[in-house]
Amino acid sequence: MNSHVTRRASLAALGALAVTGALVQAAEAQPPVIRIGGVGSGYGKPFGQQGAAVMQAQRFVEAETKGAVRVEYHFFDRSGPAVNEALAAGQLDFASYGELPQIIGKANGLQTRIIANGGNTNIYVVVRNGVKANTISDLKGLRVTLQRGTILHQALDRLLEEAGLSEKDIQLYDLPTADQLTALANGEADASVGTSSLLTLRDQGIVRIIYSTAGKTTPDGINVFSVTEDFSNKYPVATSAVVRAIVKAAKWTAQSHNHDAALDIWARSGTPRKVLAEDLPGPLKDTEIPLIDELFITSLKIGVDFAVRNKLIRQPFDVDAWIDRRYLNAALHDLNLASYWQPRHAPPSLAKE
Amino acid sequence: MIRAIPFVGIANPSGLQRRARSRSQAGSIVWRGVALGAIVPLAVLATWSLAVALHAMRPQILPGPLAVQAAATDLLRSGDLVTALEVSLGRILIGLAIGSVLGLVAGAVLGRSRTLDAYFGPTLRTICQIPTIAWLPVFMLIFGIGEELKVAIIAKAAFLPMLLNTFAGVRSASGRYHEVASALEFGPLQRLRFVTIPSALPMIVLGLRLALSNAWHVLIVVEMLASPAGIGHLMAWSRTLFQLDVVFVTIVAIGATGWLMDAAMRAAERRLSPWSLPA
Repeated sequence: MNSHVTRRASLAALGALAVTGALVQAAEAQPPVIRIGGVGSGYGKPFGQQGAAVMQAQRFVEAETKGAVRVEYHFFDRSGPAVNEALAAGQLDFASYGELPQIIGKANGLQTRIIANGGNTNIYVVVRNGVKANTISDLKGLRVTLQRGTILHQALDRLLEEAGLSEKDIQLYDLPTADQLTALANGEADASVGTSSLLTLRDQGIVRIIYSTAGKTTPDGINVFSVTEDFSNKYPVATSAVVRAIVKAAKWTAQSHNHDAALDIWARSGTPRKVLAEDLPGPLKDTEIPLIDELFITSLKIGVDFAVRNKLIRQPFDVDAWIDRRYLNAALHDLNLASYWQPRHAPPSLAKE
Repeated sequence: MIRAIPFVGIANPSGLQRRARSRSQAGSIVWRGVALGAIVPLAVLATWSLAVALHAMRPQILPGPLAVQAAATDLLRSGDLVTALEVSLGRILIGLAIGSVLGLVAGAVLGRSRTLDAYFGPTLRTICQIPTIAWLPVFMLIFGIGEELKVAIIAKAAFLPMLLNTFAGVRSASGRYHEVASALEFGPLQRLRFVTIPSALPMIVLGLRLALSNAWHVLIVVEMLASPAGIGHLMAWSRTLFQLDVVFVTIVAIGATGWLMDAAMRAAERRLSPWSLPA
């Protein structure tokens, strides 16, 4: 009987321990602060574009965490490498930025997991006025300027390959965006690959657009939302809340009556509203799609392949193991949006193993 | 007759004796210098190793000394580091040659002619106050984005110290030497050869040393911003690739190269103008 009592006592103690453990865990599940990083538009403003900017403006993370957690946003001007450095320094918990710097960060040991698609950036290929080129294949032999090691570089590589060319067929000049504009303006470069900032240059009569991914379903210009493993392991509840906010922001942006408001939010980054309106005429449902679908994964695999071929990373790695779909699946289910977005398939010509 | 004139330092018996005497001690002094100079780097290396061993910072932010050494070995083996340095030093050589010759001529002319100095001095000095890097956008429009841009920027960076020091050197030529030169009825060329150049030389050499150091600093920045080659580009590119070990290698290479160039210039300074050494 004595032993019986002891057993019951120890069971009770175990139960109490388990409850305490759960409480401790519940207490731990509230981080002191959630720090979300993104890429600014190069105008020196502390605001960004895409989903992260909408989440910030609409306070979706605050809503999902019931206002109990401080939420910080940090936008780094046009600089994926700066986001990588901030992640490595432990200054960010989440980040949405271009897939190529994401791949470079991951390959160099950043402990991150992909939690959602970060939406697309439209990519433009322009030629200086007076240059006789109308297609990507016409770029052969021309002086093309862009910033190497970016999603723009990755996109050009794919577009050249599609046109039966390679980087060897063009003269590539690696320049920061502002200097690209100078180079185009003074005739030092014939063509450039960039984002919507090139639209301003077209309006000034300096360049002509010969190609753009706007409105197309391509694996170019993909942004990736990731979380540090440190954070998601320690705060799975808060991670779920942030991913719900990501999905809510994508849904909010997709609704056509919010289009104007979305452009207003993104214009805070310094990108002229006129440029935004042309770059993102809507509907934005597919531009800001949060899904980790076939096209998204194919793009990541193209990115890893590109990075290895161009010696941007030393070793390839497993993209599928980098992705953690649990949070996104739960968020889509919880918000009743499981069938809101149509998963996009990769064109057969792009299918990677 | 001309050779008999005792110009400063050219025949300075006490200086020569001092140098001869000190030669025997030179070895131990050099070693002492090396040993003392090595204390700080070794302390930094020790702190660095300790920080890495204690995982004080993530390896993506602070790679360990061994990782940096491995990256250096890789870069040396592949020739990337040497190629990058060759490109940078080639640019320095051309840009410095152009900038320092222009600075020398301008400094000498303004130093000799108070009229020209009154006309051009203020403008030149104002222009030179604008940091060289601030000229980059304008220089890009003028010189494009190719090699001419880097050479022009280096030339600009070298021009100012050369101008100011040559100017000061030429102006500092003591009036008494000019009196002697007048008494000996020197022509303008003789005056230049025996008065102006010897008295201005220490300042000119100092100007050249500052010009080189200035040019090196500016070149690294230009290469980081707008260049597909060179050591500065290698550094910026490694940052894009998030290879901090390579970034550290380039930092060390930039510092070491700058130090070597400066040491060479100081040696040249001693050789060319021994009388400028403090007694």
